Amino acid sequence: MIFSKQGLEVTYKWLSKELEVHVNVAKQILSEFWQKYKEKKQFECVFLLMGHLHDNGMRVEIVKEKDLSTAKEKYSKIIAKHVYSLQKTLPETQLLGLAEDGDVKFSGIKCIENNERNDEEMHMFRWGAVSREIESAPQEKVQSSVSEAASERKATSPEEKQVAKKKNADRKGFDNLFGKAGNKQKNSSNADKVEVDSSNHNKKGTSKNGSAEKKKSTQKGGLSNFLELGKNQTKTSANSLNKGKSTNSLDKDKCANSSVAEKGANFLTKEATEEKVLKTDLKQIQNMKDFEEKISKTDKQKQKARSRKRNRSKETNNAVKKRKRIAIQSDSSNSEPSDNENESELDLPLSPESCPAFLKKRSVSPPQVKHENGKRKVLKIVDKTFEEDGFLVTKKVHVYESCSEEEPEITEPKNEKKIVSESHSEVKGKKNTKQTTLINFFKKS
Amino acid sequence: MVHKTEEECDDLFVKSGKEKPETFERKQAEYRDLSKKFINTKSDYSKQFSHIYSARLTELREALIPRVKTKWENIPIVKLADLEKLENQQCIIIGTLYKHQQWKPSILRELSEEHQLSASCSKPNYCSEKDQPFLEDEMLRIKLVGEQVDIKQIITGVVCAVLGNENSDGTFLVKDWCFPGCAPKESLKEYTSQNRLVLVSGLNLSNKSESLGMSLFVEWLCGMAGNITIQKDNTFIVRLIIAGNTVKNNDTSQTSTNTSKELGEVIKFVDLFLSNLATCCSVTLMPGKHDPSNAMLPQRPFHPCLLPKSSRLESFKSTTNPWVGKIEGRVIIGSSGQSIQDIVKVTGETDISPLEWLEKSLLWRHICPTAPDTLLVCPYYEKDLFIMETCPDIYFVGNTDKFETKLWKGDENQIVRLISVPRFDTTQTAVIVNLDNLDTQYISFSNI
Repeated sequence: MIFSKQGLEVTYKWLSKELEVHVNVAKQILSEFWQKYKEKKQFECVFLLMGHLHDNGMRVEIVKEKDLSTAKEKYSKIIAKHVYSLQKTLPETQLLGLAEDGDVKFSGIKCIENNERNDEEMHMFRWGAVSREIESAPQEKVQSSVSEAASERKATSPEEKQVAKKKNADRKGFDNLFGKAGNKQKNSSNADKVEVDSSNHNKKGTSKNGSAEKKKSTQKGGLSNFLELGKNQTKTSANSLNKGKSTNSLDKDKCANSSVAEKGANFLTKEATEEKVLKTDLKQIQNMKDFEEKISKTDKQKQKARSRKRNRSKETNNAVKKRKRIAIQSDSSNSEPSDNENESELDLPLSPESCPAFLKKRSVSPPQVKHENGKRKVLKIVDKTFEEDGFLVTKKVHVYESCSEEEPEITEPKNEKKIVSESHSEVKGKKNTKQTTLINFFKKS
Repeated sequence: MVHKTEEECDDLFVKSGKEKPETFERKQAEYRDLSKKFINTKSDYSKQFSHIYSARLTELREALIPRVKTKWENIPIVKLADLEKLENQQCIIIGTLYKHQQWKPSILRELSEEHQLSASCSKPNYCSEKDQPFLEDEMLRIKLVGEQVDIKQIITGVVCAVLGNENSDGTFLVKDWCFPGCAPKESLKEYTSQNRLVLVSGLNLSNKSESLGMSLFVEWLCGMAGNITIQKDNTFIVRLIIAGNTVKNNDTSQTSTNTSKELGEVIKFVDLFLSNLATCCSVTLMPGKHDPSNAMLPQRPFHPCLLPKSSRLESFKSTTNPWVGKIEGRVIIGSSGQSIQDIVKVTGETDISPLEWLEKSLLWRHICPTAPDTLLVCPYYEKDLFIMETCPDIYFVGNTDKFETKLWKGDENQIVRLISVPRFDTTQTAVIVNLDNLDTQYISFSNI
């Protein structure tokens, strides 16, 4: 039977694992087998000896059958002896160390303390309660900038609303993300991003606050729904709700920003076809750091829902713009928001962690921006006026402005982007993608 | 003769074949990790290390003064600054020992060797002919002389009281010593638990050739090997403590496993190994000198992300080095070996076993006196965390060359089990401690 295989040691632990029986049963089987066939001497038997030594120590060893008598002399008392393994030949007993491990399941001792921690416990365990404390601090810092940005932001569009919804989802997930992000460095990076956002908002500044506010109310409801859905990971219901809300908001927005909306619409339609591709791209591109950064942003935004929404909307806008560039040719207005949401939802299942929020963040995120196949953006130096701590500050800022997609010079804008990203990269190397995307977004708007 | 022993053994042999195989439940024990202070205490890298010495002296002086007063009655305790006024009268000074050693680690010498300004030489210890003993308090230091001064026994960082008088040449003639002594016991209650601990150290799993000893150890601990009696008996083993160097055991293997990829492989294997153990027995894992943790004492626990599988299990506890814990009411203090290894280097004495130094450090009331002088520690500045505040019941050091143990009895009824836990990869030996009566025995897993 098994022994016929050359070079295979049949140890009791292997046998118990293979036959899924208790180790003691496996020992018994081996022993009986050996008793039955040992006259034929076809194989070698190795015993395990366990006993007390003369100097009060204990010893566990395995010995070949022929060495048993000499081995036993070492012991003052032998407390156990059983067949360890049977094999055709065994030049060295040490070789048994290489034998396959047994399965602890079939051992003679059970440990009832070996409960597994669930994901939430693991999170706390890995990152500690400190992660929650870290959350609150950055939020406060950010708030001022966020609120400013909110006041100044452009009510660019339905897209923004969609983004806001996504951000809400992010918020829930955000706790988790934050915990993972745990590093304080991330917080700093978040702050930086927030600044960028505010600057972007300022530029956009001109626009339709009223429409945005209306949208906010709708968004909130949508957000909460969305979040809950995300938790449950029921993708379908969430999608439907989001779509409905998003479409409404989109319509309103369109009135305000017709041009932007159209672009977004175009983008969306293309996305529908390209969703799958985007998803895969997103997965590859999006790093956990990106998520975390986004999360931190959302944290900052938490205190003021409006400001948060606005930020989110900005992020989404960026994503949309990128998409637009990709999808420029197609025109479809209402379908856009649903597509975005779909993407976010699709991302959700991908995430290994239980929290859907991560996924949503991903979908919103900068990686899409990077994904830009056909985007063309030009880096320009622009004077922007920011509200900082109640003061208006004018700064020269590098901004990417989107060019018509048709433009032949794709490579140049990319280079410029890289430069910008490098400057940001001091804080975080990975941020580059996000920052560039944000900038791009703003300029376009 | 041979036949006779055969029969004996057969009596002991597993008879479970026709019955339903029994499995036993491992006993549970109350477990508390008291080493949180090592993680939570703040340290500041912009601070000087002298704060540690002053904190140590302040705290241990409080412990010394009553002992000094009972040992040498009516002799004044003075500060070094006030020695002059006494005009060579007999007195007691309390301070920190300092041994001036030419060959102790020095960043300046490393630098000059790097620039080839001086010849580099690697020595097994820090000693030279020119070593000089001093005693220093917060302000001054004074050279110690006399027949009572054995330069080999002087360990930098130990706080002690010295009886003697100042010589005219500004040195201090030592007549007697007094050390803080073992810390008082928290309570002297009776222990009745049958439970046992197993200690191992230096598993060195980067040594890829998985040894037979290691698998026998796992089989024994997890209740696979042996007969029913042994399996039942082993359920009393409530916890395995792994005292350092689980991943690697020396620097030489570091060069070969230094690539991060290889180290990653090893750690994956360690994770698997530990998670296997932890499903069957509670495990406490301390980092060691060569493990992927910080080099400064106290070494932080392995991060949960480093050992994802093991960390999932509640029976697996990753902890600090040195470690202070309480199991079934027994206070346990242990280190992975750096503290004692460094003391050996400071003394240059090879005849004194680690166990003796362990006992002495109990009397010094300090786990690692040579830090921060020659042993890296975090720059705590408010408190010296390595002072033993309570008397342990079990005090062990890991990664020694051989197993040794001693039941130490103090003059205040303290009973301490001292253990030097040998490296597993060379000795294939683990240590079993009975929590009831502190009986200790070794168990070896080789077939040499």
